[in-house]
Amino acid sequence: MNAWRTVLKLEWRILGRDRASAMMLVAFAVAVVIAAAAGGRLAQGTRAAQQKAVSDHQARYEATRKALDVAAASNEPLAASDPRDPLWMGEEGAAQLIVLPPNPLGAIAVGQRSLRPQSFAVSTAAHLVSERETESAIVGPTRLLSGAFDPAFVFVVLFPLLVIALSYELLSGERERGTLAMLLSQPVSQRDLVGGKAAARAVLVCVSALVLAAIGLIVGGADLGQPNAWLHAALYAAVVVSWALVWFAASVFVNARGGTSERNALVLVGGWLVFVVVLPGLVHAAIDSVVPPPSRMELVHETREAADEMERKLAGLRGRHDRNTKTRKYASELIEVKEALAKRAAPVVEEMQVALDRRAGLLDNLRFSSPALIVQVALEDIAGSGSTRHRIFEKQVDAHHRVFQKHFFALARSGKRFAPANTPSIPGFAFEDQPVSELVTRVAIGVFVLLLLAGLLLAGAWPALRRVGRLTR
Amino acid sequence: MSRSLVATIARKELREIVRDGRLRVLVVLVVILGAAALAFGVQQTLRAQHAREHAQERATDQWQTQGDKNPHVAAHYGTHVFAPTSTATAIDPGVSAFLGQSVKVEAHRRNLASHSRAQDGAGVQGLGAFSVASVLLLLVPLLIIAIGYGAWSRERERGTLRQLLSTGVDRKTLLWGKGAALLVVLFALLTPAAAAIIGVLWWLGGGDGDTMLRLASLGIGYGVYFATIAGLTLYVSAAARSSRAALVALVAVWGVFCLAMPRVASEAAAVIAPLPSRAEVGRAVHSSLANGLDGKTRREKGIEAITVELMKKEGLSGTGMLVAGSFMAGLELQAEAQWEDRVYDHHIRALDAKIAAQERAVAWFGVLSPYVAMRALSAGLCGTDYHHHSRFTEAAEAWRKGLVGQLNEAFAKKGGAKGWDYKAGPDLWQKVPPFSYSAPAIAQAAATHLVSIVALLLWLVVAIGLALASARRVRVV
Repeated sequence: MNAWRTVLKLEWRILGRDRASAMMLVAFAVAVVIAAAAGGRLAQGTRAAQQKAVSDHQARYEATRKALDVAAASNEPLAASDPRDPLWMGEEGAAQLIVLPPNPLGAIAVGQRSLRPQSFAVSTAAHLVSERETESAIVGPTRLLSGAFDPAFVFVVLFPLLVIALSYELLSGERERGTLAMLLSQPVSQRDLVGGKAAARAVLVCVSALVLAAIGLIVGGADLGQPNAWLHAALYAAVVVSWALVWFAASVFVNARGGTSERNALVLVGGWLVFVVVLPGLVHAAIDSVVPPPSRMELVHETREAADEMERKLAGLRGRHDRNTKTRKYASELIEVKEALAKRAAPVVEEMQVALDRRAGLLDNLRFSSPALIVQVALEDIAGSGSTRHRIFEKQVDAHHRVFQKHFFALARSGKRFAPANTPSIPGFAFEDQPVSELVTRVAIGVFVLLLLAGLLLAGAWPALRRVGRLTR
Repeated sequence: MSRSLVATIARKELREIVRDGRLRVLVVLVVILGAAALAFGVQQTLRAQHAREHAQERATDQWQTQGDKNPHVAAHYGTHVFAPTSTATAIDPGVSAFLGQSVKVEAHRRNLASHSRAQDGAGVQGLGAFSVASVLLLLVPLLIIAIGYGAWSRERERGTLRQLLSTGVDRKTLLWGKGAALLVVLFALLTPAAAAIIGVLWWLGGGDGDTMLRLASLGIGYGVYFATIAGLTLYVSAAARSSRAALVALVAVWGVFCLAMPRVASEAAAVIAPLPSRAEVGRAVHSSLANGLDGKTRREKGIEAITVELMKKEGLSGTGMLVAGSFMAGLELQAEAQWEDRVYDHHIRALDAKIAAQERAVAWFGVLSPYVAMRALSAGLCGTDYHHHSRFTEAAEAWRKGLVGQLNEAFAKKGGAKGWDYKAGPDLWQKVPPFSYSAPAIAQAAATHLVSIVALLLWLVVAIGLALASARRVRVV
């Protein structure tokens, strides 16, 4: 233990004087801060856009309610866009805007946020309209293709390169510089030497990474006042540290093989390339090949064909500009059409949901094929921008949409006018987020696998480190 | 500089490369990945082609068998048109996965393309795509680096550089020899790949002149890209202290070019050329529909003015003639459509121009990374960039206008006294010409990506210049 401590101390001193290491750390720090700012800009943009959309929507709803109070007092016949008309209220007046609230650490990974709907307009419309991101900027196609420059990218992709650069020559460097013989002439074993050196560098890298991640959270505008925010931050820290340990362990493993620094660098960079760049792409391809995404074009047709007759009726009702839409008969015809449409489209939608679930499930399993995927998925989960959370949200909105439809159809069918007394009974929506225990379990499994991998690599290196190979090049 | 000497050096370098077991493994890996990517691309393209054909057939069938109805009701019923899938998607899907594949065509509104493939992605798309293009753009440069990083530095470390120079060969000749060897290896590797790609595209039905021309241009583009990487590799190998340093520096440069810069470029482009939100576009359209593009003309007034114009065209204004109800309704519908078309055309073209501006802003970053330049050019030549998409949506809109106009005209001319009770049948539905679209010519695609082409050529000049300069100054020991 004593020897370890001595090596650690010496290594710290060397690192403190090494300009190259300092420069690499500075470059990494710059990357983290820029990424945090970019990720924060996106997350805050989404949040602000959602807030604006929600407050605009609330203002519109309040205006409708006031109009309803005024109109309810009169006995005039129904006019266009009349709040007393339950059909119009269901379609527009009381339509709801439902948003997926961002997680406190939303800035760390953009994830699915730029691809999947962040808000839905719920009305009595036959299909749930996935009103995308009502107020946040459209994302250009090349930007979607490139992915965001967010902290998740910096930690998943660039961070291992920093670790490799600081550790690929742990042992080989000493041998090549001719200092290994001198070091081993001291009362220190090769294991202690490599262990101490790796530990010194790991502590430096992990502490810097955590400090930078924390600065990133501040720059990115993380909302640490939210419940569970500190738990999320702890999970984030655990993922980053275990990811760093995987690469340090890989470096120790490669160094224990006794090759040259050049060879070590090649092997480590090769491993990084395979696990961080190639495998995620292959996993994608595998998912697309095995469970192809359901074709939405086909869905449109299936729904349309299944409900063609109804659709025609609907077009017949809508397309005629001379039709009085304020009669009870029109209302019940329209409701009938919409209900039939939803009922006949249900199996197709169901089939699509099953396919989407299967794809998400497959990714969940295949993420274990590459530690980089484990880290990416974990960071997206913590940021609340992963597929799992989006699927939960979409399903809940879908269920709420049906309840909402039913409620207004029943009102319209009753033939009574919509009155101020009806407003409290409009079904509301409260998003039930993924339970914290589930999130913790998901992330903890990932962290466990990463630590296991690091442990296995170290265990593989340990016996080899006992043997002292060549002392010089 | 004698040519035979260059050839001799190239032969010597080639022998060394071929003898290196690690490189053999790398080459085999890249070949396997390339082949797998091609197979995957073909599978996806066939699937997309099949889905499109099927969807288009069903849409046409639904349209033609919609039964008897008023033509304007049919315009509300509408139909769908689908984006064509070029066979070259098998090589480079570009940004096509992120763009809508179909457009709902209906009366009164111009819909944006919807149903992008990425929308149903399984997740973590940002981490990696897998296509022939991604192998060529990302992995082949790494292969070049792996082959070439020790070209100068290893000779120096082994002491063979001094021996070589003692034979009287000059450094420039040595550089050309080394460069030639690198390119020969690549050529040997990529020629069968190119043949396989051409064969596969032919089989997929893309054997026409335009596709072949596009492929040839693609080949030249990638040639320039690889030569640039080879030049930079030789430069770093000569300038670095050791092979180790050369390797680390080259991997870092590759990471900046291929991983960091594309993301930085698109983040920066989003700041330089920001896009509005869908809601903003929606509000602008809504307000213009109500108050005209000038914000002063009320919808009713505007439509009335257009109706008067249309009546004039029909020779009916001021005649005091009684006009059949449906004729007037049809005319009014046409006027309404024209009013709406002006609004949609204005706002959607403006949005289109903004997206194109953001794409151009990204392309300018090609000056900082040859990867960014080549990626844009590759997608452009394969017809999977935004430019091709916007051509499709314009064509779809032109077709929509034609369709709605034809239906309203039929209502106006044939409705007679029946007015809204008039119903047309399959005869009218079948008269609608099928949607057809032809991709822009290659010259236009090239013009769109001029910035990327110039950036790539600049990179080539810089890389060769650097390689030559460093060869002249390379340290011998």
